[in-house]
Amino acid sequence: MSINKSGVLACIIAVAISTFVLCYTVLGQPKIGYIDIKTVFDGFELKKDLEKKYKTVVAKRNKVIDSLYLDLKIASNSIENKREKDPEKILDFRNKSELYNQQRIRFEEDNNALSTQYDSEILAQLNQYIQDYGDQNGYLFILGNQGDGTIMQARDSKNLTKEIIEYTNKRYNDKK
Amino acid sequence: MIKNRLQSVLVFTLTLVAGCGEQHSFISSGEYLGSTLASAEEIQSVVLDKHNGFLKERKIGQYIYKTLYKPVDFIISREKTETIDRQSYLEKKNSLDGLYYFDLRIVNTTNTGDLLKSISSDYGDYDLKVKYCAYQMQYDIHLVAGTDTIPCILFHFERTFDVAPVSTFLLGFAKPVSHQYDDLQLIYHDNLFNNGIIKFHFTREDIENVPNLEL
Repeated sequence: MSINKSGVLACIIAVAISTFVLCYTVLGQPKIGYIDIKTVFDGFELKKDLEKKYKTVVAKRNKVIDSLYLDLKIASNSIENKREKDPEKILDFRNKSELYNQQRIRFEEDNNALSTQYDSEILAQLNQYIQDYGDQNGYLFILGNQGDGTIMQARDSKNLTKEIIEYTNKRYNDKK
Repeated sequence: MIKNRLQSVLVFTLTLVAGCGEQHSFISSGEYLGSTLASAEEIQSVVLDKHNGFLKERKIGQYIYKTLYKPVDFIISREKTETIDRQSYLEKKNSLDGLYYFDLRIVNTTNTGDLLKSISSDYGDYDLKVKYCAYQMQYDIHLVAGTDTIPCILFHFERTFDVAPVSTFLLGFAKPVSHQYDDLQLIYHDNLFNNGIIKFHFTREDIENVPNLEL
């Protein structure tokens, strides 16, 4: 009878310990996941929308440059085709050449600034949505893998890239 | 005996009918309200309840963007004085009916004081930002209904100066002839705080689920 009692007690203790260990391993450990930053960035629909806007702006600027180049070419031809050089036409060519170069450089700078601005806009939203995803799903850390050795090894089960792309796009499009 | 029973059945039925007639005044969120009547206060509580789909919020960094879809009865209910008659209600409703109305509110959660001053380097820069908000921002806001992209034709910038770190923009978009039954998406490209394109999705089911104003 006493053996039975101690056996039951041992069983209870064993069950309690294994429950504790199980709870600790499943619930107690901090939740950590990782994402492939480039894939998330490329898969974010805001990036695609801003890319379209960027291309439209660049195409419009290129049209302006093309028409300035055409003017310049016409001015150049009008000088080359005549034996006697008309000083007025030479001056006109110089002015057009200067305008073309100035505008080309300005547009290149503006394009770079716009690209940088759009990148920072994408990152602002992406950072917020990833933070929200982590908060809602109880993640202590969501690490970013850039393929530069920041994460050398991780299990595929901890890869949140697909889930994060889905979540960020849902948030961006305000879909339930 | 039979006469007494008939009388009691009649009284019960009348009480039931009278009771049912009063039910429109009780409103809870998520209930379909499109064909019901409600008081001005009730309409306001329905529209301003976050769960009913009229009010949307998005936090990006330190800024919160809030949009409110304002049904016509909601606008009238806000202006309603105690003695609004049917004639003036209908006149008001007809004059407002051609547009979709929204409020867009931007709140800075970390600073106090003027919203625009917190991102301005000097007075000249502040002045440029005020001018952008007053005259140019309108062109960065669109409403999408189905395949139609509708420009913002009614725009008003409400300044709070140093009172609160909030700016409110009142918006109006012409209702398209087609796509009357599609969902609406308010799209704002934030060129003020550089937080990208922000979209707010309003389902038709939600925005039509508003009671009519009881006169």
